[in-house]
Amino acid sequence: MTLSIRDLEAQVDGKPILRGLTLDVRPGEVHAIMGPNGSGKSTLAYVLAGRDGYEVTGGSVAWQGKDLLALAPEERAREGLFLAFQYPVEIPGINNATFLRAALNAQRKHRGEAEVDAMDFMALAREKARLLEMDDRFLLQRNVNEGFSGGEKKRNEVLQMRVLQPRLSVLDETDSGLDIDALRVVARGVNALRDGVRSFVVITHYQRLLDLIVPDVVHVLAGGRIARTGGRDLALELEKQGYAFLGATGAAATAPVASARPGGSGAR
Amino acid sequence: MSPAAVPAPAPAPAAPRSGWRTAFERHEAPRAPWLDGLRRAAMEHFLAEGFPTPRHEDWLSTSLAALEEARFGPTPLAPAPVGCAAIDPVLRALPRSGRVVFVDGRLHEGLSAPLPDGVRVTPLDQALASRREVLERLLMLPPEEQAHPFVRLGTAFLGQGVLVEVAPGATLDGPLVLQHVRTKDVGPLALHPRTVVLAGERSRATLFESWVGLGSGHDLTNALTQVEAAPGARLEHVRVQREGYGTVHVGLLKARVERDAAFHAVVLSFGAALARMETDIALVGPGADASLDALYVLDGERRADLVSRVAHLVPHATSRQRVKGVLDGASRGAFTGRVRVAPGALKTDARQGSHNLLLSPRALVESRPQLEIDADDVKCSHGATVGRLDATALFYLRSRGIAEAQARQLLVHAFAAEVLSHLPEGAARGALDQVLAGGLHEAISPGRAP
Repeated sequence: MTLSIRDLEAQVDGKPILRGLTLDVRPGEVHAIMGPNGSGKSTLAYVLAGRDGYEVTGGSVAWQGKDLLALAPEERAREGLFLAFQYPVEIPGINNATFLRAALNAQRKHRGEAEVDAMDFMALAREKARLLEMDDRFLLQRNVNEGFSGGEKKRNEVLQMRVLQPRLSVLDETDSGLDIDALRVVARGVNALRDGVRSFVVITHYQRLLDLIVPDVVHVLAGGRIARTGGRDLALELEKQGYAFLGATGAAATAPVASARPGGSGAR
Repeated sequence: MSPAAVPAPAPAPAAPRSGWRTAFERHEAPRAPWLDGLRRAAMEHFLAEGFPTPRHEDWLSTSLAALEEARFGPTPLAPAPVGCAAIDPVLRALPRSGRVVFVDGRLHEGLSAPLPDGVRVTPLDQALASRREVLERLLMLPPEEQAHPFVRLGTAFLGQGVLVEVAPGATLDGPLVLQHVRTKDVGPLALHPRTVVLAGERSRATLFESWVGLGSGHDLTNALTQVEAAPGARLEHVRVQREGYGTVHVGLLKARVERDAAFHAVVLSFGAALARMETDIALVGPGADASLDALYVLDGERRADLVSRVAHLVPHATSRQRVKGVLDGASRGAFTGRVRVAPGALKTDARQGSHNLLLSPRALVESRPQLEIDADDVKCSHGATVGRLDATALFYLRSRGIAEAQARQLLVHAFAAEVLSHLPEGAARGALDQVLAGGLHEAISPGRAP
């Protein structure tokens, strides 16, 4: 078992959000998590990554046999976890390449591998960036996400993922704010990492991302727990019928169905 | 002029500041009798008035009580041997720069390195004879500028220092470094070096003044630098202060910027128990331009007090001041920025900003902008911010595997290094970036000894 979440409960500002979530992700699997606004999708992502303010009040998360919740955020990353942020953070004054090399070397050091020097790093990063249609400016001249468009920020997340080669990637609404061309580029970057061993948890409102990153399992999160699990067909069904089936059990069952806005709320 | 060997008198019921009188009487006066009256008058004024207390408006955050009855010894005749490049990150970063080295207050010819073409450096005692006409004008400061306790002390204790002359039209092919080293264990020492910089018409030069202290004694540095930028000159003047943590460092800079000249002052202040860095700039010709980019870094109980006074005396001059503070522990910092626009100084463009990063809930910072505008049709602005490290950015870095301590350092460096962003690309800027990274790491690295 790669990732094993058991009866996870978490709160934010004293408000319970996750209420007994159970989920298993095996090596090589892609799990999609869908669900109405407020159902706890982003909270799950942040709890897994270890963000301050997301307080775990019950349950457990085991990751490759370790207690994930006992690790600091940087230790989780070094153990192979990666969160692609819904809103990547702009950091003025820190060069994008400097940042990514520091991250890569921190992880290599943890694994007992030699650090990568600046020249070798640039060769590696250039190669990883090519597939994402990002040129050298994004690495050498720009600060971390500073002044990036929405699409550039998401590409930069996938670039980091490709350089760091995580065992488990959690993609938090990576499709938000992307037009269809950018979405294709991002999906291509993610798919290139699929090798039968690496696992993915793809959080999304929209079926269209799942046309491009095809999941093995689809879950519907509602009221802080998994309300339904199915195959790829479940996403197609949700696209047609929305979350009405959740009825009173869904905390936000009356939220508008995402697919009613085919352009995507943040499309540029 | 009898140096050194007289033992200090036994402490007796003494007049206030008697230690200062004793030191004055033993001071090695320069061989310039024409200065004696000026020096003696400055001393008498100082003895009568002493140091300002924190009640004085300009000295709110500067407590000098410990200096009143201090007894400083004479400067050693034979300076201790010291490897200047090894201890000074400025020289490490600029290994081939021309340099003039002072050790414990004395010019050390042996350690100095050849100067670039186009600049002449004369020890002050020689210059007082050979360039009297220039120095007389500069040393006889107007009364309102004399009335500063450290200017008075600097005048009374005139002796060490240099005259730096950049030839008209010359472009120096590298920076010139004036390095001041304090060695360990020389006893409490007060140094009053004077630096006079004359940048000739249309000359181009970068000048560093680097202060390094190796001990932790209760010393005083009282440095006064006077700059004249002739018409069309461009001068970058960088002060890097890394004194020992027991030292009081007072660094005064007075610059006069003439028509179409550009003067860029940079201050990086890392060391000292108390650092007071003043920058006075007078824009005296149309088209004159002045910039100040300053950074101070504090931890523990240390203090820094930055003061700037920019006087727009003529129309069509511009000034920019950007001051940043990084404060950890229970440190305290203050910035007082005064901009004066004289009557008739139309089309003045003067901006000022002060931005501070607090790394500890016990650190304190004050910003006191003071705009005095007596002309119409001018642009003047100021802004100040105080903030903490951005928790979201910190999490983002950590979520990629970067340790919390390193993530903090990256963010602090990003904040601080912005003060260098207005310098032209080149050797001096590269060197300063190294100096800044090293200084930050030393002053506030999380693993340091308490």
